[in-house]
Amino acid sequence: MNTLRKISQIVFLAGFVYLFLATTRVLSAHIPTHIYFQLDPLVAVVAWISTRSFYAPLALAFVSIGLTLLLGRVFCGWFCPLGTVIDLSDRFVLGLRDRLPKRRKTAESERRRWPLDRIASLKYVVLIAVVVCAALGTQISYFLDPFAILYRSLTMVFYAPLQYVLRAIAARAPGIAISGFVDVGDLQVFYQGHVIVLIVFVGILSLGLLGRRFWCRNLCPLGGLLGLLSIYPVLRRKVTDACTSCTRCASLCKMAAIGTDYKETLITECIQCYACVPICPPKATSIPIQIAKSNVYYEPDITRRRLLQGAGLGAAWLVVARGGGSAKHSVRGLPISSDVLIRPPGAIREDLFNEACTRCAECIKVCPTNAIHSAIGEAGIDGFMSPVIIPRIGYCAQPCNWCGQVCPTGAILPFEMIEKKWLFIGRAVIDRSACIAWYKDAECTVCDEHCSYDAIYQKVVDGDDKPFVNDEMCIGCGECERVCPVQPVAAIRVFGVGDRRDETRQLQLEYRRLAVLQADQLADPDVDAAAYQQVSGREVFIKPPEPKY
Amino acid sequence: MRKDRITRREFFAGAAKAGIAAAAASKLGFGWLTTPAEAAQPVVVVAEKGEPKDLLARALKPVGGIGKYVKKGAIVALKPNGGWARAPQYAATTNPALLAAMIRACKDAGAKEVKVVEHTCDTPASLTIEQCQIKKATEDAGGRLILLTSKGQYREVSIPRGKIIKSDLVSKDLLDADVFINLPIAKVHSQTRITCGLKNLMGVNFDRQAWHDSPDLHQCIADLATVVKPQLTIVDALTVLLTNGPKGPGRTKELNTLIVSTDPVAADAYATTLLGLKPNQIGHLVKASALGVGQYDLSKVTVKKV
Repeated sequence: MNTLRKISQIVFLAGFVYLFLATTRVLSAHIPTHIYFQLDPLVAVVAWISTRSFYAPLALAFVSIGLTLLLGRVFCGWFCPLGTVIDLSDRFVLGLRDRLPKRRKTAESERRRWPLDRIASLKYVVLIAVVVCAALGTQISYFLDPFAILYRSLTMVFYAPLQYVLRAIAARAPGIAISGFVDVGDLQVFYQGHVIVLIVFVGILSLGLLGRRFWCRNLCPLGGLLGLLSIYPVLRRKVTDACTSCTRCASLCKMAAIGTDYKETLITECIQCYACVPICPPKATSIPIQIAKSNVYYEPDITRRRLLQGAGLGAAWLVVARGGGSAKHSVRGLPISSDVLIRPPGAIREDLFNEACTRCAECIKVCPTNAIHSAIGEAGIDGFMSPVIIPRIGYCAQPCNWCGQVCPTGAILPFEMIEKKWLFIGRAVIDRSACIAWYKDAECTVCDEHCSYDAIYQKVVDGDDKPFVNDEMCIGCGECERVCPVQPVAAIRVFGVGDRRDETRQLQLEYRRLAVLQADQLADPDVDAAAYQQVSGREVFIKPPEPKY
Repeated sequence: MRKDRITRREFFAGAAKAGIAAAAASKLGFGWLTTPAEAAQPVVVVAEKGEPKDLLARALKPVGGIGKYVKKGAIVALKPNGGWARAPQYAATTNPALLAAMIRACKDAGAKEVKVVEHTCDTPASLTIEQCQIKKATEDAGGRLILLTSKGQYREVSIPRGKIIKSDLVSKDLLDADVFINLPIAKVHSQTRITCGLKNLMGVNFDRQAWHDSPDLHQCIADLATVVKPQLTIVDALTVLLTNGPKGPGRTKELNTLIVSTDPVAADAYATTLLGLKPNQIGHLVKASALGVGQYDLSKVTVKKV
């Protein structure tokens, strides 16, 4: 079973990496690339609580919940890809530690005996803080959710160098399946916020210096949640009287789930990894499927003190987040923390967006133009690491709607391509003091050439053509800002003021929507009839179908 | 039987073959870079009314047929206009059916490889080339699509006759090809009035932003045209974009016309008239003419309608 568990771990990690690589414009249509996140109970619970609505696709999390109720924390031991990464890195990290001259490895230091391992209760503090924050209407689980951490790290840190490898392979062997993983020609080498992500990732792995699976054991809120759920699972460790108290199992157990007399097991900690079974010298240990009560204890270490600590932490975070220019302090539904906050099209109302978004970086990965980045200050403290478009790096390409397709939590709802004509995300403004057509009469029409929405026009002013923005046509895709030859700051820039979620835009939106739909129906050769049917069949995406309080 | 030595006869045979190959390569390779300007009056062939494939066959005959340009085993580089992520109906990009017909014609003439080279304006390149259906056309017809996305795909070329640009990075695939055929679409353009063959060559150099920053874009286009000389220019005027170019959406008109010429300037000059403008209004045509690239004055050009 120990070997079987290792195989399962590798398979699920490989699956995770495969789905990560497959999160491309080409493959996302055929593969449910966000399925891991929808299986994650922490993501689901936090999204449901914080947005006060039941986003149905997340109901897949009940599979994991059911599995835990039935079998225990097998999710952590057998499936969790971050757990597998930590297991792999722990081998390396611990080997490194043992090579340090002053730290001599002793059985005593390796032995982490329950209930001495008080720090394990920290994960409940974290979990309570996460839930309290969700209940108060903000989101912090993103920072600590294992899937989000791993996916984010893969996207923002490892994908950039990986692209060179993928492209090299695709160039040398064009026929093989890898070609679907990489849009040849679209190198995305920079992601804003990648350093923060790297620090978190390396930090979690280097916690292995303090003991194996330190993160899973002591800090992971998902681990805490699953521990709470393993009330009476059928997979339980059993030790017969042949036990000689040799302490090998206790010193080996990476979750510190084995008690003082080596026969007791703390079921909230045990991840059913079977590591203690084969190493038992008298073969006294087994983890069978059993209903009889053995020496197994369900005693999650949540004291009143822990509860208060968790709640206090959550409330404290809320104060920080709300005090620091939160999206909730907004004018007409728009955040005031930054004028350059540009969300992907299909984003739900700003305050709900920050609550629903789990910062998994799927949209960042799938975006073919490298437009979506992780926010640092753009969305306030509340919206830290949430996806924003930075047009100077990449713009929102017209024939693309993939960020809406891959979002696991519905923070970016799916939309059709023809809807992009009224899914305003911002508005372009020409800075006449920087625009070379305006201030030095240069013959430059690059923004006009590139505009996909016909929103820039030329008018003769003082004898020369000068560019103007047609506010009713501009959706804020940022193509003009991307291609503007003025360096380093573009002379035409997109600001968040034209966001469709701004109430002042609603009348204009309605007008535009009707005009677009009529025009599309009559003349636009680009409109796919099926897509039109699909849009006209449901309530059109003017105001996103928002969860109600 | 192990054969670890070559006989004298084999040696001579091999040496002779290599010699012929080298001679052929020197004859073909870089040939188009050094083609002298034609002394006789340039010819512009205009084919009207018909399917792209039929038009192409008709238009190529008066200039000597495809076989005159594409020899057996030659590597052909085609440069369509696939810069914009627009469906072909918008007439912002070269007609994919025409491109496919051209690739097939080259293949039929015995071309070893037909490369379709493009440096898209819109990003991402892969999405753009899919949207304008050039990818599908290329793959269906058996060509090889080459998207210019990194600096490594370019090589420095000096431009001795250039007035603004003295040297430029140009696509290696294009420079190393035996034959280079330009396949632009005729459109109006917000900055250069029209975009056709010469303007289409902007898609083979690396840094476009620098051209826009320079004082005279028209001169930059003309400068590059002195070294990057297509042996044939085939202008797609099947459907032309008359307003809001180069990307559209604008008013389009079906002309069902194909313009073929060995003179890149003359082909553009004729296309200009189809767009309702006069060639002498187009700065880069006049400037390219002054540099001896071709003839913009249609009164000095033989127009053959077929």
